[in-house]
Amino acid sequence: MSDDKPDTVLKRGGLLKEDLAFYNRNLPEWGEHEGKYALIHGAQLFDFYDSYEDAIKVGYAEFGLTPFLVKQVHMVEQVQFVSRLVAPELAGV
Amino acid sequence: MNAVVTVSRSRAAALKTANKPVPKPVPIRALVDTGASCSSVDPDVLAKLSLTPTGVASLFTSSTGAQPHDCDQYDVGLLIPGPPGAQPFLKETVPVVAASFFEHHGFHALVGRDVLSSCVLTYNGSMGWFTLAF
Repeated sequence: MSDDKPDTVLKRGGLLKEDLAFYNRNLPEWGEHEGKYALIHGAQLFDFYDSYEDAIKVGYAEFGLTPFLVKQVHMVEQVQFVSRLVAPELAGV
Repeated sequence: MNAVVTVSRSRAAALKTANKPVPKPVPIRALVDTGASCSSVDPDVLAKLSLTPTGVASLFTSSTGAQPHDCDQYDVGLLIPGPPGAQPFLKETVPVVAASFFEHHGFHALVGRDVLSSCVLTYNGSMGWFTLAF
């Protein structure tokens, strides 16, 4: 996906759909990487990293401003919780 | 409390490489929320930083009903000023989800336990104050 559109609006809604589908498809085979951060771009795994910061750093270095997904590997999805009444921006996935 | 949200350090480097301007840091009011496992920022603030999502988080709130929802996640930098002369708290790359807050709440972000895990939070209820050490 290109990044040709002006960076003036919050672009969301399905940018990471394919990458997330790739993650979910391959997750059962990634048990040995539990807790690490997967860097996925173009529905392909680039690598696993020990920290979120490292994965983000490599993501921008390798893929620039084109969308990429960083997701911590958990065999059981870790659900985040916010007790306060907020309206989260739902992903288009 | 006052805080500042920026693009992450890595995104700033990528913007410079692409000869694109780095958005100015956005000053905000943030609320320390020990009831939040993750930090969140108002979409209007994220829009000012021209961010694109780099993650997806499964989020459960009192407004999402019985099921968690997938939410876009963004990498940002977060700065919390310290007292005069002291170093600020600075996280150059932290994941946040986009969440709207009611305007009358008067804040633009929740600082959740993911960030608080790098600090020592002391709440003195009888005195009506808290301290955040980092």
